[in-house]
Amino acid sequence: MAGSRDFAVLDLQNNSDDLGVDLQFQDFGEARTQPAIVSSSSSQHEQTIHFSEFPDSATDENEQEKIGPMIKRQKKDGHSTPLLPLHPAEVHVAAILPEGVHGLVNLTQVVVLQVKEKQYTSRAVKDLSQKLPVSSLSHLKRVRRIPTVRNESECQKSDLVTVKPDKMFVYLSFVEEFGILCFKEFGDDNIMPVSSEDAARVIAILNEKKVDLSLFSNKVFVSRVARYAPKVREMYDKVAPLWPCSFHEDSYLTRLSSDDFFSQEKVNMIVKHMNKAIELGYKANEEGNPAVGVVMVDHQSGQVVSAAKDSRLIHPLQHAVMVAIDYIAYRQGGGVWVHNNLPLIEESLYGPCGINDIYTSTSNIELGQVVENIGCIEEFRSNSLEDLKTRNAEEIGMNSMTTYICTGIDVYITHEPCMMCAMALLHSRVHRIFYCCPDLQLGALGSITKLHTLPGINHRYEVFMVTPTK
Amino acid sequence: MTDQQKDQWMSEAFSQAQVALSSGEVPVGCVFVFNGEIIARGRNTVNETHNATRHAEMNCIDQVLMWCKSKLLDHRIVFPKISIFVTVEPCGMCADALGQLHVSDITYGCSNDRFGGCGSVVNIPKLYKYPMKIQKGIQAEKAVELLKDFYKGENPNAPTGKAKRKIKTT
Repeated sequence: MAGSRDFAVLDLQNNSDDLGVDLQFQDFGEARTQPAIVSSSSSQHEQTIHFSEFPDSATDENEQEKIGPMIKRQKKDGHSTPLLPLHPAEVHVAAILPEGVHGLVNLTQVVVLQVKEKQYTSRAVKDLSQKLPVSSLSHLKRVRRIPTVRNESECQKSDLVTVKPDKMFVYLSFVEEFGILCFKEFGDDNIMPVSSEDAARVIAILNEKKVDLSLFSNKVFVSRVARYAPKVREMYDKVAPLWPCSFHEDSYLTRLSSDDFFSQEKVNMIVKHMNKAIELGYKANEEGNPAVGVVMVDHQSGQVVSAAKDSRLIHPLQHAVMVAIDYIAYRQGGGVWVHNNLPLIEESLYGPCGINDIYTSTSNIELGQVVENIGCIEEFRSNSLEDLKTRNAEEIGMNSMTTYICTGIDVYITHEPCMMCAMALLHSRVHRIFYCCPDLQLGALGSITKLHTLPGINHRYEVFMVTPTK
Repeated sequence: MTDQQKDQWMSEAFSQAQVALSSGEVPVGCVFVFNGEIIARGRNTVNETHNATRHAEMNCIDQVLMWCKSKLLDHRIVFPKISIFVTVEPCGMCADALGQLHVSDITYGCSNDRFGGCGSVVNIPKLYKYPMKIQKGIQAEKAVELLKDFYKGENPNAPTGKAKRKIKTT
């Protein structure tokens, strides 16, 4: 198994006992580069199939077929090993975006006819739009013009002599509609003629729909087109040469998907907070919990407003995120777990979570970045629990009159949150979420699903994954 | 479990929802039944606790943990044997929490189009392959009525501008 380390995309762990975690990372890394062809519902299974591309895990795959992907995954706990601190210069912050915004383009294949004469084009478009409308491809232009290839000498003459007319093509509908198999390879012009049997079938179907076939030449083709409307310039540039389509740039998504969305200064800030979360993860791990830590920061002021480590060992719901949310509630005059007379929770919750000692403790880990910022530590000291008890909520910057639950808060989590935590953050109306380590078993913000991109949810936050570049 | 018993437990959940309504909370109530006995009853306490995660189910889970502690039982054995009666479809958070605790029997009243986690917005049991037995539509009209009553008023904690939005329930 040792060889598999060479393939690890995100080798955060140095623990040789936990190679399974590395495998999960490489799985994820592979899947990230090829998600677009896969439909969103089946992408989970597709990800595991990529295991087979790594020689070391070939045996795993056979085993996996027997017991099913989910059961296999549940054997390993992705949280169990603490993360190493990040270094600001070697970090990549990437937004977790809806399918089809980054990576490969989602293409589909359509049946195409050539218009017999150029002047028939508008009639053909009108005829098809009435008799064969395809609403799910409405982002495509109906017609594609392929300029006739001329050699250079012809080109020079072309200004004077009459030019040979361009070829005009119109798409009909998906190949599946006509019972034609998808083509595997396409030439440069992205147009492939179908067999005569297939062509006859297409003509028969068109006759049934009373399409005016006199407008078209009798050859039938297949062409690749974009399945969905491109939202980002990068995507448009990839699909437009295949078949013309409309493009309404989503400037917000374009900004998010760009690599330099965060300035270096911001990245430093992100790394600083994330390293705090990682250190909290160490603390949690020392107590036998998963090494998950959370830091919550006010987006406007940059002030740390909550921090928590995982304590699900003593209370199954006290994932770090849930504890951090409850701490915010406590600061606003509410909260449950601090007041609750569950003795097992009381002692472990906020006291050891350190507020005072998190950032001052001298640990073996290199956390220069964290300790450097004395101001932040001071601020954290002043926000310690003892102080909180004597001051009221308004004085410590969490004005309960203006702050509604967790609005405007950036959340830094060591690991991808599970569905419970992701949904809790959604209920709490947080602003942004940063996490380091994907969780392929439970993760709800990129792995199992992308909760923040689903239609119908009542609040949206941005999600970013922070990964070391090396 | 007879239908009569189910109705009775659902009515218990509704009386919790009623309490929530009268204290200005979203009217959702919930009871957890173990061995034919109610071991936890809870309601939403989101406004009271300033914690948006304190849904009825979450409060009940805390109660069950306490109950287990007092009876010296392991909650990992108790939760899979619990039946849950809740007036409104559990949200994604609650459904996942219950799934992680291996709860397998959920009965709810009306669906929740805003953040329902058992099919309305996301389908947690399907997504995570939780072996859950879910029954819906028990006294649904009553649950909708309660929600309508609530959304006639305003959320006292909501910031200005966000207050008062109509809820769609089915």
